[in-house]
Amino acid sequence: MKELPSNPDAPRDFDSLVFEHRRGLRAYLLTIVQDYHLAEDILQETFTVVADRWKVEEIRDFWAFSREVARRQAFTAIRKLQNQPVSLSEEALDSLHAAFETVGSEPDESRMQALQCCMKKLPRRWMKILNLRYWESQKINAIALKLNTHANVVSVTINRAKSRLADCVLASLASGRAKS
Amino acid sequence: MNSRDHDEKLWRYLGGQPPSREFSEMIRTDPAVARRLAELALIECAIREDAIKIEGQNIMRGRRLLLLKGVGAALAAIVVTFAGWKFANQPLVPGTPLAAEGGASTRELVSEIREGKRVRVSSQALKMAFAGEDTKLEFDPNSEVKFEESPQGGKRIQLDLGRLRAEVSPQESPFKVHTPHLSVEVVGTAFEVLVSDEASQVLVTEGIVEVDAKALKEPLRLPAGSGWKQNGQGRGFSVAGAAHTRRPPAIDQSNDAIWDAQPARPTRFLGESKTPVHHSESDHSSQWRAVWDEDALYVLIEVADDEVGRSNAKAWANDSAEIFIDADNSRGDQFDGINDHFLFFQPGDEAITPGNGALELRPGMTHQSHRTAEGFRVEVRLPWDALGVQPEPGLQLGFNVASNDSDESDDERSQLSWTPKFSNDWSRPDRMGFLILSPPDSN
Repeated sequence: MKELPSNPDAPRDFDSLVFEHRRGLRAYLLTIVQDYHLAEDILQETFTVVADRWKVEEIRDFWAFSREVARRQAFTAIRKLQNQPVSLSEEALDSLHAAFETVGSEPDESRMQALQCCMKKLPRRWMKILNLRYWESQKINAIALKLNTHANVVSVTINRAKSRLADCVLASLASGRAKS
Repeated sequence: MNSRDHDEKLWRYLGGQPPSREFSEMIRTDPAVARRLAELALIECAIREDAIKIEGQNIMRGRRLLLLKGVGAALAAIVVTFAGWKFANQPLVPGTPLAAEGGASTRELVSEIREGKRVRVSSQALKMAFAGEDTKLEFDPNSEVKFEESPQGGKRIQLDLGRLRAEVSPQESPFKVHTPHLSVEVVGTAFEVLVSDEASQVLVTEGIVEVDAKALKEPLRLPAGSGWKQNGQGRGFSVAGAAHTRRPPAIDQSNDAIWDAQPARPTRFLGESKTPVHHSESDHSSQWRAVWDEDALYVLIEVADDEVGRSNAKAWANDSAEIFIDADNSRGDQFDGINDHFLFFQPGDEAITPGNGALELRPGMTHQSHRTAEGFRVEVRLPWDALGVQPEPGLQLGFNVASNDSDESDDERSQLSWTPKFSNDWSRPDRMGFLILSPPDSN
């Protein structure tokens, strides 16, 4: 692999950069393609392209460069799969691209640690619903049946739980930044 | 609009709901909403991907699995090259450049795999190659697997679900595959392991593996073409493949070359025993081979018996061979009267004797049996029409072969069976082994 002393990421190797940014990129792709599994596939393609570039050329800003590659890969994939352009307008996608400039760049581990703490604070029933939905892969209707409630209630509860987690993680990260 | 309403729209968008023009405009014009969408997407991904542990325990009960994905639709699989199999508490580090087929994106995959971390192969098969050796592993989509180092220093794979096809080059330390139902130890060979919630099955395609399972009192060495299936109730079954042939053997006293090309499967389970027997081979031992074509299943049984004779009116009490077939592998607890067959063959007999409770002899079933210097030999042709199923590659039949030796009296009678068989199992298709029809060109 080419040594790149002028590269701000140079002291780090490619693998650790990939490891650090993979969640952020996956989330970015999710906001474009609206499908988690498709986002995962495109992420693999993205890293292939980024790795090819890394071998031959300096990548000064890994996060920005890989986001740009991801966006192009997402466009290609969507056109290939659905034969239609992406759903959001070009300007809205630009806005999202800018939003991810800071949002997805924080170290993964801080975010995950914050999420772990925030999970503890969720109401038990919310946690149970998240568990059924994500870890046991149950459908919304099946969860509603199991908990003797309506599917709509389950959907709304899941979204509220995730929103609360997002708020809690943001607060925790902000607090961490303030302390440091 | 309050933030809760915003979030609900954003979640629906992330869930796949097509965005309205207003939604698109909102993202474009309000950076705070765009940032919020990014935050929610990060949470969505984090929840889907990671085990959230609290005080050492999964807060989410049930299984938490990392998804390993392939590298794009053009590739049927991905290739990972490890620098050996150096498991430690650190991420594995790729060694030599990645194989061209896989591309560098597999680096991420490599860095995700840790010792003892359970992973699930996603929608594409996962192929793995190892630097410095010819070992190749291929996992079916959705397989669940864990990579570990055994206490003795060898490679250890825990396969909890799915299928592993492996070609293992000679190893310095044992290479082991564990499933919930059995374990396989390999020195250097090719084999596949198939695991479902109910059972695990290993099938050897090259070389020898040693399998251990609850149903066995001691490990069983399986040669090529043989296998073992172990269910969750502790019962074990022998498994074998039957090669396809375009030149079926003649049912006569000649020794067709096709038989020499087939692996011989020994009958090694003595009635009532979980332990493979090491019988006096001249007194009583037997082995069988099988091939198939579009017309029939052909079976050769060779029995070594230093004293062949008939002394009893009951076929099972004489020197004889038996074939059990559950043609549609329906595995009932008694013969179904539809396509379950139980056939006796006695040396020198012109007729096949149907066993009690099974179907009468079907037209077209033919055999030839004659004595040999070692004992006796039986060749059988069983047309698919007579068996009651249509053949196709991959078809599984319930199957067993047994041989009986009756020297002087009933007390000295012994029965050897290919798959473990106990006193009342003779009438139970669900206790038969498995015969799998191999695809054409496999021989």
